Amino acid sequence: MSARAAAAIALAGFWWTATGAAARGAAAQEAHGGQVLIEALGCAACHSGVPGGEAIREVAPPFGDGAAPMAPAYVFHYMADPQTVRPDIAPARMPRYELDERQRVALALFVSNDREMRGVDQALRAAMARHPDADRAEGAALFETLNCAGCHVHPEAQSRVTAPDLSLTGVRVRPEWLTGYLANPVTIRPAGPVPGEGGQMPDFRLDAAEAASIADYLLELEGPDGADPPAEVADWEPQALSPFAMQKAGTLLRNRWSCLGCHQLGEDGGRIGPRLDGVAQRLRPGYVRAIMQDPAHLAPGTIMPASLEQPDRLDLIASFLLGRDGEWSGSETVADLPALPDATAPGAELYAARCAPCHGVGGAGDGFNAPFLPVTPTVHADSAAMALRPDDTLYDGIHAGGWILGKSHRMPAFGASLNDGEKRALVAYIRALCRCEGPAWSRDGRRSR
Amino acid sequence: MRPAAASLALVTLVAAACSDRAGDAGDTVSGPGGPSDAARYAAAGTTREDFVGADACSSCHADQYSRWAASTHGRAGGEPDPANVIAPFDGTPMVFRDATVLPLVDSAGRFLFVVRQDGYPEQTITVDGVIGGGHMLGGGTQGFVTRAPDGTVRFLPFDFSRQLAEWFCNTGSRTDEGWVPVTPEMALADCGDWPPTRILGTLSRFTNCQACHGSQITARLEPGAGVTTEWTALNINCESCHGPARRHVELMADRTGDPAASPRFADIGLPSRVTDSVEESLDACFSCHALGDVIAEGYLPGARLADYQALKLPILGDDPYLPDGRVRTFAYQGTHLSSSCYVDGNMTCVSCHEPHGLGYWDINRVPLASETDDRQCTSCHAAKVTAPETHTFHAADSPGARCVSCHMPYLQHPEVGAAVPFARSDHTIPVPRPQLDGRLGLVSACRGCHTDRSELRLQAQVDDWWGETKPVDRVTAGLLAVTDRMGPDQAGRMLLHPDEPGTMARFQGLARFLTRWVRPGEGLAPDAADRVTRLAASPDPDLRALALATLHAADSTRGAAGADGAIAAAGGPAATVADEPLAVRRRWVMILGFLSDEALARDDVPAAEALLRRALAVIPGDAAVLRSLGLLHNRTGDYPRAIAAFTESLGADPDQPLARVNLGIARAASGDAAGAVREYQAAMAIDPNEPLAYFNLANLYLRSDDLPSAIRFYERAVVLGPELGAAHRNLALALGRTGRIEDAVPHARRAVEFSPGDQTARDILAQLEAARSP
Repeated sequence: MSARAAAAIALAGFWWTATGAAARGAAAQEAHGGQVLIEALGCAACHSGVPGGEAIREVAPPFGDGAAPMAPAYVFHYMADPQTVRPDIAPARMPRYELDERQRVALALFVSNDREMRGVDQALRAAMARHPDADRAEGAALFETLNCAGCHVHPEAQSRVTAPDLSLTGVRVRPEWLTGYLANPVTIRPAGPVPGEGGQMPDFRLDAAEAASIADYLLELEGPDGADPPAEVADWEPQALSPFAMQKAGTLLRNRWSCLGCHQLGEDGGRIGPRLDGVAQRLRPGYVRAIMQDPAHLAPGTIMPASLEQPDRLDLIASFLLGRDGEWSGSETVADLPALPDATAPGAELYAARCAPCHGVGGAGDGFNAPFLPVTPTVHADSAAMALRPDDTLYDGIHAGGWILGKSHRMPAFGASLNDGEKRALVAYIRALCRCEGPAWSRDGRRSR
Repeated sequence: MRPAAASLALVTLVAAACSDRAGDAGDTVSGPGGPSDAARYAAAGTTREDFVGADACSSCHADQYSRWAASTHGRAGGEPDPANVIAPFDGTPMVFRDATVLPLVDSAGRFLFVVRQDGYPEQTITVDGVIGGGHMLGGGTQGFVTRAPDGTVRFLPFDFSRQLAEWFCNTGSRTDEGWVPVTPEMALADCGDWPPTRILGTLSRFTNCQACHGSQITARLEPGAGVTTEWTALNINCESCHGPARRHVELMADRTGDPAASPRFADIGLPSRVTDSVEESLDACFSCHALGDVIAEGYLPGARLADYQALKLPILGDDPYLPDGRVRTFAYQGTHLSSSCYVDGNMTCVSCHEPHGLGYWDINRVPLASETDDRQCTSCHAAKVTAPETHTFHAADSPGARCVSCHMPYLQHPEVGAAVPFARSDHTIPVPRPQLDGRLGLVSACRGCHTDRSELRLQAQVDDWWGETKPVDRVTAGLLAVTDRMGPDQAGRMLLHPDEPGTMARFQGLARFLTRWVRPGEGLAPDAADRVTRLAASPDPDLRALALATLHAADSTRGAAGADGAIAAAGGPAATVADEPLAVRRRWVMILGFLSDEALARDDVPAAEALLRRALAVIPGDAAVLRSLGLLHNRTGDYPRAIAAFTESLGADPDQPLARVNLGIARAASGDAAGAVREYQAAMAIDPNEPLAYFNLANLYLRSDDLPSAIRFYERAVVLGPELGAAHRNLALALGRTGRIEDAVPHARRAVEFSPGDQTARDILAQLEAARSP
């Protein structure tokens, strides 16, 4: 897209269309099928496992220095409901995000490239007055969170492929659910696919035919090379549980297991992973069973740890989740996610991904998920308290979970998902956070020499 | 006081000791001597018929059943049978100084002990039950029971050690040398269970409860009928842990249809144990595998054990634990409550013990092949896995490198003595501290292998390898350092630590402080009062009751502040004593009763009485406390008040044969012989087999020189209570006076045999033998 064209759009403001959507979808399906649509929409800008990702950058307007300036007021209004369709790039389109006014102000300041702020109208001026702290840096962070750079080139932003790998869609989700979801996406992971980063699937306003076309394509995809889904995915069937067994499983899930540390079930539970209500409508049974045992295999990059429980109990819990009544619904998006540190040290990176959602980025026990836990997560920054805990105790808690230490059973066991070096790196990072050492008596090894 | 009266008093005290022990057990529902087991299941709305036995479980739960059947629980005992008897019943005699005992199987296949004792007719005792299979690695034993004429089932004195492959007996109540192998130097009566006095089941007349050596064992006294002893099995069956299964079997009999669709599958008639909390899980095991004082009958799996048993109360008086919770005398695996794995973690028995087969598994239920497999520990203590040698300092494949070698060593239970192996792995899971271990009289884990090295040297090695080791908690440190010479302020600071996490330790510290530094009615220093008050805030009923009882006992307002004063001082939800849960109040009463006994032992009768009166403020009209008050008055010779107390006790609970007997003793001492006879007869009406009723009735006849009647009732008394030396002695006296010297001599011998300290009995025997000689 030329700078001129972008400027023209900006000056022209909005044009709305209610026409052509169905026709566009039908045309896309006839001409190119789901794959064409996926490539055109730029799904691969966020998701791995699907083709494309570059085409969208050709048609989405670039931002930042060197790009055509764009009126801040235009961005501000457009982002409220970007139902604009440009016939020249169809079926590609700008999707709709659920943004509040402050976010739109911040984004407008970041992407407009109008340092003089000439294109500010009365509404934006009033909004800026209401949100005097919303600045360009906040817009930059939001730009990153939403992965705008996946489509829009911006010299100050990197695109990130962090949304779920779609090559295993067929083994994960139920077809009828997928079609409905694509047409009307809702939040699945309340704090984003990378918990705490806050990204969400936007609404592409797909019509029924488009959604079906994409779903058909995704469901036929084969898994990544060498990643055959575990046997459970195809073979496993949920048990028909008696009400007694359902109660037993529910009690285990709430009172003993760590699942609800991250997942919401009813009114209980955390906001890190997808909610567990109605999973029978969303997910295939075998996947529900298999993900507990081997999440890294089915959802590469996930922070969900592999369960250390025995197969009979996994059968019970999976059957319980699949046998529960209750409609599947999306989650409420977690607001006010703290900025994640730019971590590169192994311990810091692991901590940011796996610990910070509950324990807080700085170890203050104030992670975004903390309000949804029955007890306050341990404050790793508390030197006095942490100096009483041996390194081994920290390691053991990471390995086997909080329950074995008489602490919260909602703290999961990462023993099967982190290696020894990773666990020790985490212990070292916690020690850096508390600026303390464990008690002298607790350190192993010959000491008198 | 005339000799007869003295002997009467002696026996009265024996009876009092029995009933007091039951009183300590807080049997306030049915009363000592009453139908304690009759209420056992009825209290829970359960009858014997609600139990179906293990075989009923096998068809649906074949896997669990087969594992259980091969387990130490499944093979814990049963009917005498070559398959479960490990002791040699081959006629090889056990030779005592004064007796020979032949264990043999007769032609009908019956297991028998033939007892040939000098001066007595030969006795043949039938083995009616086998207890234990000698399975325990640290010392496995097997015992035997027989049915007695009074309906009880009693333990025989002849036990067998698998490790020694020898017969032994428990001398605990006689020569007090622990468990000793049978030798020709021993007298038969050196064995505490000769004649047998320990019963299967719980009856308050007997001081030893053995309800755990089988499944659903009940010894019940039907008033007017006598004792009936029953059990489902003499192994430990499914319902011992899962509860009565009749309803479950009935509900699940029709297994047609879709279980998910049928509402009847919402209630399967049994609770799930998979969802047990830590405490619920421990309850099931500790109902047998821990010391405890019974505060109410009727515990069934699924109930909260704290409502039925007080696991920390045995610390008062008997003090079975060392300062760090390890076994000082004899205990079971309740020492787990002192382990860091429990105090600072959530470990239960089933964290390591697979509950059906009783094999081992890790915290994630991965089966382990052996009890020494490190993964029992390292599935939680994972940090020790990667470089174990930096922690163990022992070659990786050597026994010394196994976690349990150092942290769960097998320790001989001291009360047993050293002659018969009875070591159990230390469930406090301690850190080896060779010097401290030695100071406490224990063989440290290091010394268990390195027998050639001194504790000093071993300690030096420990210091060299590990430097500073994990410190003990503050209460344990205080218990180790405190001396009786210290003042109450200093002792309080050392022993009372309300913020220490271990409930067992906090209880031990307060128990020591209470028994050594608190004088009834003399108040507490402000700092100690503050600490005790904070201890009373514990949700643990044992600790709360102990703290409340401490405040109450120490109350210096002459009782004016009363139990409500203790409640008010402690704070919390209860406004008055009546609001306090019964489980706490029962413990509170028992603790005041214990302190009263202690005061009595110091001959401080006013304090003893004041403490009992304070106990009555906690549970007004409590039959056991009133009975203790009556015994106290009997002891001081205040018979009118004794009569009043016993009468009030019997008003609260009429089915107390021993309270009747003691009331009779008070009436007799007041000169009301006719009234005494009525009370003894009333006791017999409740329990036709109560030997003390016959004995005391016979005493009346002896005093009035009605020798034939005296002899008749003494004879009944020694049949029902063959262990009663005084009854044998008085029978010998009565027979002697009628000139039946030959009949009298064996009873005089029995009197000396069972009561070696009874000089009167020795004199009578000497006189009889002199009269007999030509």
